[in-house]
Amino acid sequence: MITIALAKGRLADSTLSILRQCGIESDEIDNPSRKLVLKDNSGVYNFILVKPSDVPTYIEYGIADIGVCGRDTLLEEEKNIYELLDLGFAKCRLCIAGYDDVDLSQIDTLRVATKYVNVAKKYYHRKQRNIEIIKLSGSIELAPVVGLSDVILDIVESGKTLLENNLSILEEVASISARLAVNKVSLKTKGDIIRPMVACIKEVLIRNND
Amino acid sequence: MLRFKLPQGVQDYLPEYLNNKLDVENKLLEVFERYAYGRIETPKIECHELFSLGVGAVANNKLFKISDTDGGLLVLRSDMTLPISRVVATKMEEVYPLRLCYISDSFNLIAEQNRSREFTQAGVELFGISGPEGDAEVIALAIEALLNAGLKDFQIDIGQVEILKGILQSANISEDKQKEIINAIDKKNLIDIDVDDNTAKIINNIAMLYGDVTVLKQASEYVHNKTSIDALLNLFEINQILTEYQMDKYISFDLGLVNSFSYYSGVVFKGITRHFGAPILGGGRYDKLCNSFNKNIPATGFAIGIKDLMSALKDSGIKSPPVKANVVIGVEDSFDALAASRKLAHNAIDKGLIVDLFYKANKQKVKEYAQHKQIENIIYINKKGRIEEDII
Repeated sequence: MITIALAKGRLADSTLSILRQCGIESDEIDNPSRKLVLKDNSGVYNFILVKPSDVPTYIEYGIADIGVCGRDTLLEEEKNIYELLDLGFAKCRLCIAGYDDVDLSQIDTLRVATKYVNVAKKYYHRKQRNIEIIKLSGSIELAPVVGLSDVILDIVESGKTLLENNLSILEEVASISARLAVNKVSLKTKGDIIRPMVACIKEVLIRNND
Repeated sequence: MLRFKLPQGVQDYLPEYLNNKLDVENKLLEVFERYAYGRIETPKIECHELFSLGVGAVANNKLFKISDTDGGLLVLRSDMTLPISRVVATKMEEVYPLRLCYISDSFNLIAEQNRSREFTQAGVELFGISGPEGDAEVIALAIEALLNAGLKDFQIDIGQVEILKGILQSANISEDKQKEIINAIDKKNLIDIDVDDNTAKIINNIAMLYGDVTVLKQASEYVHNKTSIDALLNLFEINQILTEYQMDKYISFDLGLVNSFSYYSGVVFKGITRHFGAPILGGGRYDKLCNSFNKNIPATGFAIGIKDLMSALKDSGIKSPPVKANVVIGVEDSFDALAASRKLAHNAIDKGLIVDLFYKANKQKVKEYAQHKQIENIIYINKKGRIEEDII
């Protein structure tokens, strides 16, 4: 039995489409209900639907053997897990954004609003910059607009929200895409199922790229 | 009930759990002692200096710190290998092989994964043997210890840090970058590392090589520098010895295995089982650690996380029998009854029974008490000091 952690939302849909191409199908998932633990049709795979930022936690504890989440979550959570594959979808960028007409070098302690506290700490530590982190959990773009922070560190897809609020991308921190993560013990102890599964996903990715 | 807060990451051990814990510890210790590993204890409090030396340096944010009366900095030890190496290098006779074992609590300021901040480990350290027979001895010991504790389906996953070190050195990669790459290899994340194509290809091939002994043969096609080749030969020899010991079914290899402790200098290994989501055992060779004490003593060893092993045992359905009294002695309120109960208790204890005395008894109360404690036998002593039968 293999348990797969799926991040609720768009990530889950793209993941399921890849799994379907590997022959892993689930009527339970295709017919939405309020169930949180679902089975595939063969009974070999269990799916759990969790909040995206919790995917690495479920994997680290071995509650889920395998899972899919964004690289942003992996960078932030720094869990002790394998990050085997770049699935190539859900592409975006982690960026510093703010008003481009403000001279940030004049600010002694930069106020950074973000939900990626660890990423922000590390990024500015490397730049040897004094910062004050303001942790938010949503609508990060609002922070500089209302004067809560000087800049934000957040994921940017189209950049539309930024544009609508007169904010610009100032620096790029990392490029993001969906990753396949695996529990370190499961890869070995359940390798008979996980290894062929990873190999198949890899093939599907190559095929879809061609 | 009054609420009283415990610090995060520590726990009280109540009798049933503690009994289980001691039982597991004793089963491990029994194996260590069979092979002449002498038990050692060191203080829980050490000078900060010990944990800041050379290759053994521990990140400051992982150490519990206390300031001493003279202003010096003290720490709660974060692992046993450093204190034991300190003792060996500074206090013990230089007669080798020197075998030591321990069951000790260590401390971690950050609570990592499901590890507590105060955690018990059972481990061994073997000093003075530099060859593969030393590594094979401790790996075989780890296997025997886990088996004796009752765990059946587990494997010891073995790697060698010198394989990757050789590759990175021969590619002339800066030390900072090496750290980054090793970190990525630890996650088998070969997507985000940035090195020249040739090195990337070698790293990619090596880091993803895990499985039975055939991966060693595969690896020898990819590496051409002396350090890596020697490291591979070292693994071949260890595999050969463990095969001779008929323990090959318990071992596997992972050439991308890099253990978190920076002091490892050769073979590294982890014990894994499908009954627990993280390794229950970790170890390896640390030949450079004693250099911090101006001694050159090759060494190898491992530590088992007791709590993790207990979780794995529980998941696999193995439980130590609870320590339960065999008999409740209900004693009515009189000197005669007390005197008789003492005598009776001693007789029972001499026969190997465990007795549970219930004072100021009446028949109803003693029955309730025995039921609550799930003890089947009751002996009842009345005021005159006589045994009354058939009270159940």
